[in-house]
Amino acid sequence: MTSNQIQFNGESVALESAKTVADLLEKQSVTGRFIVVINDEVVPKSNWQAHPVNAGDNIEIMSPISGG
Amino acid sequence: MKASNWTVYGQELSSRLFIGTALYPSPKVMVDAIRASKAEVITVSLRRQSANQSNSGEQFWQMIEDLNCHLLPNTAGCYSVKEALKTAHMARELFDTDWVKLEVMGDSYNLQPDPFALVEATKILIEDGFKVFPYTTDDLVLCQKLAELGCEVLMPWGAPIGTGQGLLNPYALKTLRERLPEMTLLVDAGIGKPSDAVQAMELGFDGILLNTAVAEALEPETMAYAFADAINAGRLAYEAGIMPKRDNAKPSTPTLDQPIWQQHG
Repeated sequence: MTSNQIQFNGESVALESAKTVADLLEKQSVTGRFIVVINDEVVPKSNWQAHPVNAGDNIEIMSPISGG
Repeated sequence: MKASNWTVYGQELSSRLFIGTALYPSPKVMVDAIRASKAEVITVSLRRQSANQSNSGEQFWQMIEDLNCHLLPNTAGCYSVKEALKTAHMARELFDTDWVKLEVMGDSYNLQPDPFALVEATKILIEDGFKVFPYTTDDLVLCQKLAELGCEVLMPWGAPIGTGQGLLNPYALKTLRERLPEMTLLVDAGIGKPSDAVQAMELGFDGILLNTAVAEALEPETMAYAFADAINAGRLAYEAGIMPKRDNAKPSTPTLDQPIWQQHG
């Protein structure tokens, strides 16, 4: 992993110019019902504009699925 | 006739069936079956999006929104306290509910809950404001411990998940009902056919949580109707008061004033 890489949904992705969660979601075209988890911590939607993303972060987008 | 309403963590419900959203042959079949079941609570789960599928949960979300049911997210697939806690927190954010069906498995062969991890996770989640619906074995002492921690609902298994074997240990379930008379109890897992659900309801259980028995029926919608009727019938029977079993026969036709030749002493 280079110094500007993050783990995004299990894959290594270049952070590029994204500085916040909101930037990253836009860049990755994430839509629908989902939440953001960074390094095992849920980032509330109210913090997406301000919460920074940093090289080396493990970022997961979690969505609803069927369950029993 | 409809059985009485009941309350789950302060939420009044009419249906005594919680139904899962998994394993149906198609989304339409799922929606039709859930509507037929009249369930007001459906179980859901969550997963990480795949790298090339950025809106995979949207279609499912729209369907469950249209069903207008209460959502009970599960922590399926968790084998440790840490995993279960993380999943519960994610579910609370994703589904905007503090209800959680807490599953902490201890064995991958029969999906038996880990009682020690279940107690530990339950304690932490209740302290964090969750309303915990623990998926548990039918062990009395374990259930007593979960009750002491503040669970208002317990969900002991009838049999391992997805086996459809019915109530493997009716004695244990009957004991739970007798020893925890104020607790809201649902049988969760192992129900295979409507008569299994009737049996649990006649024991005094407050509700049933099932998924596979409907989803894997040849006609899920029809089976959902069958379970709705069975669960209502079982509850009505419990409320009506079931006669005690006797060892000896007792005539149901009055014998008083019978002709002399029909009197047998």
